[in-house]
Amino acid sequence: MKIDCTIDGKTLTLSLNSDKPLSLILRDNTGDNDTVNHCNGAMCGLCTVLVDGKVMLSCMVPAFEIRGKNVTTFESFRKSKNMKDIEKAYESVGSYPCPECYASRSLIFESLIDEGITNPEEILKELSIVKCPCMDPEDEIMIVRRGIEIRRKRNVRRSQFA
Amino acid sequence: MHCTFRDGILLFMADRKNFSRYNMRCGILLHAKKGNERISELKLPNLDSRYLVITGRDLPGNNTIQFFGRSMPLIAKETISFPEQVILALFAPDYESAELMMREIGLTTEALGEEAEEQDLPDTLEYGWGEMDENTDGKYRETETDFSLTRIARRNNKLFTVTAWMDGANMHIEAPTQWTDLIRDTVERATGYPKRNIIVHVLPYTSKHDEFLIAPAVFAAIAATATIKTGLPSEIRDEGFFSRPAVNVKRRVLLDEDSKPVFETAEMTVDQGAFAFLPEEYQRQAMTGLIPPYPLKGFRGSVKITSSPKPTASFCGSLGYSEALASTEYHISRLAEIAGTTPYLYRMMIEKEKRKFTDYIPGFDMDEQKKCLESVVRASSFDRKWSANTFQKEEFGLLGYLKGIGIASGAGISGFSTTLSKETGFYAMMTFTQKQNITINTSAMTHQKTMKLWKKRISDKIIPGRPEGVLFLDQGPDTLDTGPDVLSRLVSSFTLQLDNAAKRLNVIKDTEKLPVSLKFDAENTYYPCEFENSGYGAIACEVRIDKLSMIPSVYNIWGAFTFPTIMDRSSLENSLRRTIMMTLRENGMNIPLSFRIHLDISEDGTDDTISSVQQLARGLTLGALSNAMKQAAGRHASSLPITAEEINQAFREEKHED
Amino acid sequence: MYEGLSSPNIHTPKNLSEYATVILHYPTSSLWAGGTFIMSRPDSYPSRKMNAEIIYLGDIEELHRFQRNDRFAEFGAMVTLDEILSTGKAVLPGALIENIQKIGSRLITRRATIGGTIATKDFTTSFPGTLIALDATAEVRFIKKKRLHSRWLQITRLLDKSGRIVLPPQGMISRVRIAFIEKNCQYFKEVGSFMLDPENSVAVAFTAMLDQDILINPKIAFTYPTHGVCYSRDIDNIFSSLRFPVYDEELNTLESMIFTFIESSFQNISPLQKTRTRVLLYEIIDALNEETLTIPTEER
Repeated sequence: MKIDCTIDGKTLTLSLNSDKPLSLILRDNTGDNDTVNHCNGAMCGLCTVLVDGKVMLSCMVPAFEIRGKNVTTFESFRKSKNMKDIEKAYESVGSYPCPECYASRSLIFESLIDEGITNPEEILKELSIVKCPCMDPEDEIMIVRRGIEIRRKRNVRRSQFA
Repeated sequence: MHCTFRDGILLFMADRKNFSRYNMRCGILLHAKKGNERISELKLPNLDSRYLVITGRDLPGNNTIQFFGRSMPLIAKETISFPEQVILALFAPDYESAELMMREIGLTTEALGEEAEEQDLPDTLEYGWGEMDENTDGKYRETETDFSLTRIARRNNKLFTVTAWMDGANMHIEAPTQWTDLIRDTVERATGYPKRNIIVHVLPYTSKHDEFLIAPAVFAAIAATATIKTGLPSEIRDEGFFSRPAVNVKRRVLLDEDSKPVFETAEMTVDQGAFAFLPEEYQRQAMTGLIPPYPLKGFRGSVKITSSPKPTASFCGSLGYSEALASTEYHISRLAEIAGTTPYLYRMMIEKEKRKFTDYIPGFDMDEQKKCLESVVRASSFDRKWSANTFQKEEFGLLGYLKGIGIASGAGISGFSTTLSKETGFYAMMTFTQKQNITINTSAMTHQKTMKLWKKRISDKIIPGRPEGVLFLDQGPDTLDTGPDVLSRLVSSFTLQLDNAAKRLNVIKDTEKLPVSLKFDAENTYYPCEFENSGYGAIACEVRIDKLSMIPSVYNIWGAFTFPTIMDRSSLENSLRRTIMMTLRENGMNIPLSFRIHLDISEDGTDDTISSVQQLARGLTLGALSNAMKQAAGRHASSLPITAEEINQAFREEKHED
Repeated sequence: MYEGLSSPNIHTPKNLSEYATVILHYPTSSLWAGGTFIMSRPDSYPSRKMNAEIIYLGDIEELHRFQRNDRFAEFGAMVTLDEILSTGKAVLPGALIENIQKIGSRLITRRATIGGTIATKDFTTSFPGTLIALDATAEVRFIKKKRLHSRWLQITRLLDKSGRIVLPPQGMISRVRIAFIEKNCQYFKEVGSFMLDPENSVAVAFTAMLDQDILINPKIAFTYPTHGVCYSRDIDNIFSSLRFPVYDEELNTLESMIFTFIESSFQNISPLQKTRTRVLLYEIIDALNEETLTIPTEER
């Protein structure tokens, strides 16, 4: 079937099987082999993307569900100001995800920072989807909290200038 | 070709031919389910010209991958040696078609029984000192300990691709790889394509073990064959796979009246799987970990390599040192139990100020190592918890008390042994150019942060304040083979080689006509022992088995480390944390939300040798975890990794016996 | 489009009457709710087994409705678990909240729907067991005489003999109703990972009204993902007959009766599942014993 969607700011018309998972679409059709994995049901959590701004596991999103939707992968998110906030939080805490889960964890951090979630249990539950064992829970909580502070400061500065 | 950096990953922006995916063949592999079998029938469906099947017979050259003088078939021909061995590759216009067609392929196998192929294995490595006492007069108290690690062989659920395409006379391979030269060698052997015309473009990768050492070379040879046959670019997609060998260490020790060990034998048996890669080096690395840190009048150590129809284990992050070190640490805690004291107090009692000099590891001062141990003992209240757990366990008996705490300490080593370094000869070349720049010709390209630090260290020695004048040459036919990026050697021992080369180049640049080049060994060939010690550490680990789920969880890790030079503290700390977490997870531990790692890292500034953080942290975590699990789960659940099912089974057996 | 693999047609009815038209036209269609279960199966794509016609329920407005009064809460089948949690955390029964929270990441709960968790094929999630313990009912829509009919059924009525949820042919769950029962004992626990280690996982849901030392209307359901839900009125009756605190002897009898029933329903549950079931049972009894012995009736 023909699917019209926007992936990383590009409006595309893709000819695809309607039930093809978005993770495979991104790997096969847009060549995103670096930041999106497809683990075939092993729940690795390494395929997150933003669909209309909401973080999702792309292996669970079938092609027909992205019709008319805006998909943002880490490839384009990494250039955004929001990612800069997260990078600052990594730097400030002195801990960062390994390259394997960098994309996925960063996108989940973004969703937590965006929603302003500070409850440790909620933070860790949300991040528990990423099975990569490279970060310890305490750092994850600190990164989110620090990220929220950094984001708030940036928003305050922006509103002052506006 | 040019290279760039992104998120700490070095990217070679390959001159990738701009081919459309619609004009490409997508390949997937059929893997064996069991080892030691014969292929009795391979039934292929009717395939039109858009499909291509490659079996062991279809390779134009040799069906082998050679690795430090030992070889393994790329594709199983008649016999399947181990589970996960490649049986065939199927190429199709797209992955969906390949997947669906693969399901139509019928493979019938029959068990080989006892007829398994005899593997060429090295003799048992033996090392020892002193005259052994047979305890015929019963003067000593004799005891035995047994340490086991079960094989880990699993996929990592992470897809990666290897692509081959032709461009004029050149065969291009794009792959994540820990050793570009192995890809070029294997492709040349399998296809007959001259090595000079094989260009490897390294894709970014993160290797937790050695997933990108052998598999990419095997896949590259198959993809290159498909490219030659079809004339089209060919890609293989598969998951990463790693395997840790099964290890058993049996020790027999004679203790004097103060429970101090006097004579000891340690027999390590390592099942490397169907094929042994670098077994002699494994023996040397393992022997280094096997030699105890305490003084003995007599010691006999042996490392025996065996084979079985199981996935081939190669480096797995440590090549045996970590596992052997863990076994020694486990052994010390068992001796402490016999002595009726805590492992920490027992160590303080038996360890001297200096270690014995052996052929494998120098006789270094134990002071720093002891400081690390003291630090974690204090931070974790180790003695109190260890004693409390021991008493509670006796009090409650079965299933009543499921807590444990364990400790381990040791020294770090890195890279390959002196013997192997002399045999292999991996090189790099540093040149001082007429434009007063420094170029480095090496196949070793690692993470951005390391490269940046290398540039700074080199420029400081020759062209101070101008790190941008240090250039790493792009990969090409003339790139020198610096060897595989394993055992952390590129960030540890190679750093030292670069430093030394820079010092020497700084001298000769003023005496000779420019450009002046210096070819240098990429290994530690000048060490008097097989390995040089560097860096010390200690880890304490607290575990608890959940009574309901039978899942073991680690609640706290306390670690103290001392390194001679810390190039980047944040990277070092992250590396330690990751290695600890990874070792716990791969050994079956659950990490609860309240889990914490308490690290204390210091720099002693003694010399310039840099150790492998991973080998040390891995060995210590494994040692501390084995000790903690032993305390928590008792005698039946002694091997790692352990699952909830195995713990359940162990308790059932224990209950049954009682 | 790929060789040998046809792309399923996706039907996206906007309301139930459109759904009826589509299902009448394509009676063998597959129903697609959140897709979390379908897409997380190994080798789910590419698959020739996937039906040529898929009806996506996500656009049916009626299935997204949520309403509550003082007696019950009613959810459309496409209400996600995350929506249930955010809208009803304070009022909904604790066992259900606990069950949703056990799933963990909202990356899953934002997509998984209440209807989808009940109607999974060849696999049982922990939700049917919890809904049974909560006396929940479901509205089942089915085609009869070329018309879409609906009927409210107790979830227990949807269980077949082997403990699986079975819907009538071309049937679907459109609403789930959960009564605000006044049961002061609610317990839910899932041990092991249903998705990653189904062979060794088990979940239990238990609800009852503890009055003095007896249980009124107790309900207990054990779920084994690859087998199904183990629920029997006989076991509920045994619980009704207990007087708390229960001592070891009685507990042993209860345990052996429960295991006899479980083993007659499911022959090959794993040794670890057995251990986990046993410890879960002990935990429930311990909790009830503790409550009976320590908390005065008026405070309960």
